[in-house]
Amino acid sequence: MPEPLLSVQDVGVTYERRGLLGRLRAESPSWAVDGATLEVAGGEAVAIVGESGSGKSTIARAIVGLVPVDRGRVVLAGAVASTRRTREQRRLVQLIFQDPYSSLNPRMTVGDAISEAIRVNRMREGSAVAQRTRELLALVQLPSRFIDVHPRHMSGGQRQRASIARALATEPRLLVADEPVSALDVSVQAAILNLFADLRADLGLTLLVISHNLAVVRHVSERIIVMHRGRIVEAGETEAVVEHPRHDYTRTLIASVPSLMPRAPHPTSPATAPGGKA
Amino acid sequence: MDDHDQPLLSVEHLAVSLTGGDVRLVDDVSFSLSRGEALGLVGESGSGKSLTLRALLGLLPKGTEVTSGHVRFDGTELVSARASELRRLRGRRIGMVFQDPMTALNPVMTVGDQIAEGRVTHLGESRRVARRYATALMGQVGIADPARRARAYPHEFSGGMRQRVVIAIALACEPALILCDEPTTALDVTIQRQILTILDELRGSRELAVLFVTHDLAVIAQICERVAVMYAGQIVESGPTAEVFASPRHGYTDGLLRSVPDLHLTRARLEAITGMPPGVADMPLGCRFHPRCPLADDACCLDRGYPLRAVGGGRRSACVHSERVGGHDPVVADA
Repeated sequence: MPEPLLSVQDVGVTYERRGLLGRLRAESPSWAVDGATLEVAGGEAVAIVGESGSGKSTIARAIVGLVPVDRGRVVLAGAVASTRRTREQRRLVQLIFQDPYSSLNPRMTVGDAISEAIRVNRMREGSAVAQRTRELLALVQLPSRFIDVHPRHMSGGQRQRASIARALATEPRLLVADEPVSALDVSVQAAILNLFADLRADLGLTLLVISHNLAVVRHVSERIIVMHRGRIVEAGETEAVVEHPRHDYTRTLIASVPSLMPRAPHPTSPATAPGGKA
Repeated sequence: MDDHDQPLLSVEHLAVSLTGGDVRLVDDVSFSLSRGEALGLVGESGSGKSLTLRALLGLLPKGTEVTSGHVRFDGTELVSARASELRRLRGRRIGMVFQDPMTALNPVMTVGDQIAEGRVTHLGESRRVARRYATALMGQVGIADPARRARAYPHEFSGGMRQRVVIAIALACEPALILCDEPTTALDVTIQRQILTILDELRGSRELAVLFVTHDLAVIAQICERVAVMYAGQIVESGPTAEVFASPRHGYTDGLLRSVPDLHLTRARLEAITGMPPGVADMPLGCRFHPRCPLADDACCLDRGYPLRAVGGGRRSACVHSERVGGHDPVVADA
């Protein structure tokens, strides 16, 4: 079996009592993520799904190195990755945030934000930077005129495209997207989800999507990992988990998701029959 | 004394504008609601759905006002009603549940007292009697150990429990109508399911009419037997939810339904709607959706209004090509 691109091994994260003294004093910390183990192979699309407090965002942050791991380890392309990462390790994994309104610097044009990411990571030099910036905009299907536009003049969907372009500047192999469409309007979500599918197909990107929305997750991922109170309670092929959940919590979760399939009419409702008023 | 032929709530040609300007945020909105009926008002941000709901009770944000139209609730005209009259209706005959339960609750008053308050002020009950009713109501909305929890403060409750308290407050005076604005949007899905079930059960037991504003089509499918779809300040389609979702008669409804991922419908690729909704200052001439509509032609961009027309089966559509919408394959077929 080939080496996985990402391997999370018995990872525990707690936000309590940072530092050596704190840890010595702490009797039993409460774990935001408690003993999570998962692997993602190159080219896969995997989703971590859970409700608030499940630890799904914390694990995403641990994977990209934004929060320290208190137990276990995160292995990226065969090398252990701590919060202090090599340039290569930082380049390898990029995070897309939920809120495109706050993840872009409001004082920078989209072009500046993207070319900064290219330069800082030494992906291109000199005049090649501008050329690469235009390529990245094209990749996320934004017209090149957005190079000179500030985020405040853009819609939510356009901003999310711009932040994806910025993340792609480092030519990452793994894109971690934390609730990438939750802040967007319904009709805009579809275009962003389709963009992820296109990027996977065109660039062979590996995708790890974090979401509370099972309908979104079902659409974008081949595998689902279900988290509940800091632990992974179920993992498997998307279809299998959705159609035949094994864990009680997964069953409750799936049964709770509303569907477009209308329910049987309400027994007391007076006007369901044709001929009712509009 | 109830006249069941008259709708409980009827809204006619309602317009909401920016004060002192002619920018219409809600334009020519009409719908009606019978006793015990649940109507979903669905749309994206900026569609005017929340403004419509707030306009009904005179709760419009500063800088906006109702500029024309009528709102009749159980025979009373609300648009011209005095503030004191609206205050008497709010909480007494019409309950309200908004998205964020924490801002709706008084942080320094026990939840039991907040639920009882309406019965004391509106119904003239004694505190003791009202409190007993409040405790029973807390049990009905699924709060465990209500007698003890009635003495707790809002910060001692979780988000889902707070929203139950808000629903209990809205129902305390046994209103005929409850207005809900994204009441479950901030909640986890498992909690959302519980809240929707409670609303549904209470409707059944109290002949409660519900006006439910949300961006979530799937939520509408679960609790509203009728739906009205709003786009750019106007209702573009309305009718029985099951039929509207199965075969929409307006390009926007069709596009919206095809663009959302669903847990029980497998779709190879989502069909995104191109472009984005127009701003209030640059509404396109003609049908406001025509620049984004695959069916649009010369008939769609005339300089005239595109009002709702009956299209059969209790349904209405503003689309001149309503019979051609969604021609290729069914939108919400069997899973």
